[in-house]
Amino acid sequence: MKDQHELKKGSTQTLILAVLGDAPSHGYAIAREIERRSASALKMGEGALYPALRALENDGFISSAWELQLSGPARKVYTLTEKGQGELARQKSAWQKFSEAVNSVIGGAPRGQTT
Amino acid sequence: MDRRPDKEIIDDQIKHYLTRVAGHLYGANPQAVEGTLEEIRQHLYTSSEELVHNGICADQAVQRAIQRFGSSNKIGASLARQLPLYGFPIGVYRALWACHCAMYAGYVLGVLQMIGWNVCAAVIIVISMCIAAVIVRAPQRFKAQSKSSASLSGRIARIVRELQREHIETTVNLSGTRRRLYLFNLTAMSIVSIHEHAYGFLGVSTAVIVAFVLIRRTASRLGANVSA
Repeated sequence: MKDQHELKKGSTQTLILAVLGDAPSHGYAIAREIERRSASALKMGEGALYPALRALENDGFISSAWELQLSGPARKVYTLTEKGQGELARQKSAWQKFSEAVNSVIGGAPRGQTT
Repeated sequence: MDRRPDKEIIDDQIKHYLTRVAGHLYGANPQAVEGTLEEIRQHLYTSSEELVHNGICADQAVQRAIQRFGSSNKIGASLARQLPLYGFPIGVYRALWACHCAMYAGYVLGVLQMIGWNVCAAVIIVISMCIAAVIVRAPQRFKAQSKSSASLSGRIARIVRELQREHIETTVNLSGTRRRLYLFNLTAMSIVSIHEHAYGFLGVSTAVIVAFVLIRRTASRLGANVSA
């Protein structure tokens, strides 16, 4: 059986949108923030972040710009667009419905009992 | 503690990793490639430095950072699908399409010469119509396009795009001996075709050679590291 903490296909984009929903950020910081929020429970190849960021950018959900830093080289910072905010809300609602459905099956009513 | 050797070790391993990723991105928009590789470089460097700060030696730190990042093949292939379509000039694309059409026409003519009209004419007409439909993306011309036909059309477009990318990538990356064998094979096919008066197949091999030269010359001009 596959690792139970392995991310569901496509959920990386939702996680990125959720992180960017709070504040603009760069790739490395997004990866660390996902790790922090999930208390390291969600395992993903950090490299998967970049194709996902490109896909979100292509879809117009996020925008990016190189920003100069006080120290070190310029970093590409991603910001959630208005379209992205709508998508985040849609994905949050879809995820909630999905998790509620799974929860109701897993911890569901005993056999024969109807609700 | 002298940080310089650590920096060199980290830089060196990251550079190797980035070269492997870049190997999948030939033909993609050079600016987009450069930006993405720089982002990955910064990510791996910051990650390695953090591990070094936690007391891990530079060599192990960068290896762990790379491992955490993921396989270069997997990341490269995923990025290739997402980066803006090839930086190849539109004119080159049109020329490549012309080459592909010439190849197909050559195959048709060659098969007809070998087998004759009666046997395969119907099959060829059907195949031609299917290919023409794909090329002009006929389903998109219908106003009331159903969801399934839109999805099919999108899927076909993705497949065509992926095939084009792979064709360019393979041609650009063809190494010395394999490249010589490939060209030798095409030349041999041309000679046999001339000898047998199989002008259809002669057209195929000529179109393949033209496409090959065109891709490599363009890649070279765009600054891709074309294999010798």
